[in-house]
Amino acid sequence: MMPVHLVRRRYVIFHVLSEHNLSGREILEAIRESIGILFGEFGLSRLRITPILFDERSSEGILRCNHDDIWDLRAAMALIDQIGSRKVSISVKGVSGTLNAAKRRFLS
Amino acid sequence: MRRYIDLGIDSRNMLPEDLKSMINIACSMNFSALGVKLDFKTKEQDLKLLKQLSREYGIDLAARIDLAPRSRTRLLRDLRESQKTFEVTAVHTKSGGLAKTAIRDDRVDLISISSKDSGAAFSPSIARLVASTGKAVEFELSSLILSKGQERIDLLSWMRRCAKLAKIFHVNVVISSGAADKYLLRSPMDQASIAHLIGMNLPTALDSLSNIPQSILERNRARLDPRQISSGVRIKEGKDDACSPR
Repeated sequence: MMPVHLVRRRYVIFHVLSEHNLSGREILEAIRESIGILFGEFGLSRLRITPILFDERSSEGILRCNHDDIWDLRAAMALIDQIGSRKVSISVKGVSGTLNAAKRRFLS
Repeated sequence: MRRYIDLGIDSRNMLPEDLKSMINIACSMNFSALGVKLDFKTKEQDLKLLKQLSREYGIDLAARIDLAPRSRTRLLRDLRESQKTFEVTAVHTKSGGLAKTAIRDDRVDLISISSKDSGAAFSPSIARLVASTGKAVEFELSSLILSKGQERIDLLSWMRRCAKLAKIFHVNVVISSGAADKYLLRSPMDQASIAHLIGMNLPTALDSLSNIPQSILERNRARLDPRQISSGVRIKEGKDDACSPR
């Protein structure tokens, strides 16, 4: 029988700690850059990250990525220490298999 | 359920407010105990502050000293001076001879191998010795987080080599953030993901953040207990337990 989804996905809920206000675009660029540095273009294509939402007020957001490579994404996010010249830390609050569960369980 | 511990909070150049903010963030990241690096010169006031913060935030705070001796005499003198005060003792050294002396000494808990400079001594013979004494080697992730470009490539390859050696010789590994500010703190799972990157499997990485540091803290607290007179010998209290002359 054919699987319904060929690629299983995970929704990663993250929180950004910074003294400055950062936009979702800046954060996504920093995450992409970190993955690019660690795993290269091949890694970027393998992880298939897609931004779902980012709330600038609470500095929380959701990313979608490939299920098999979740630990690589977490490592790439954990290794970010600055965006531009601003110090930041991005921590993963939780990982979920569905978007609804991700919103319900982790977003404040 | 695992009890996560970060043994590497560096408070030596930090204001009390910054330390409070870090403890607050660490609590929200599910850490139940922290090892706080203190300066030997200001140990009295720092220890007082740690006790106060521990009560205030309801988190277990352990005093830690990091030694970087240049000679065997200096190492032994530093250990003698610090043994009754600090709950965790870590040694950073480039020299194989010094590393062997430190590993054989009961007062040392961790051999730091976080950078190529401090961990140059981590060879197969050292790994075998660490494993036989039940000590642990420590990876501080801050050096990896702060590094860029070629420096990070070298550090990653060095850490992967050390992790492989530790796996082959069954050496206990402790992972800590080594955070000197709140932006370098990482949650237990995020630290485990970096450990996964350097070649450790996930259950081992999680043990390095929970069971292994926990056993170090328990052993040392028993050692610092005034009722313990020697390793494995403890004075019992109470009438029933008192020994009577025959």
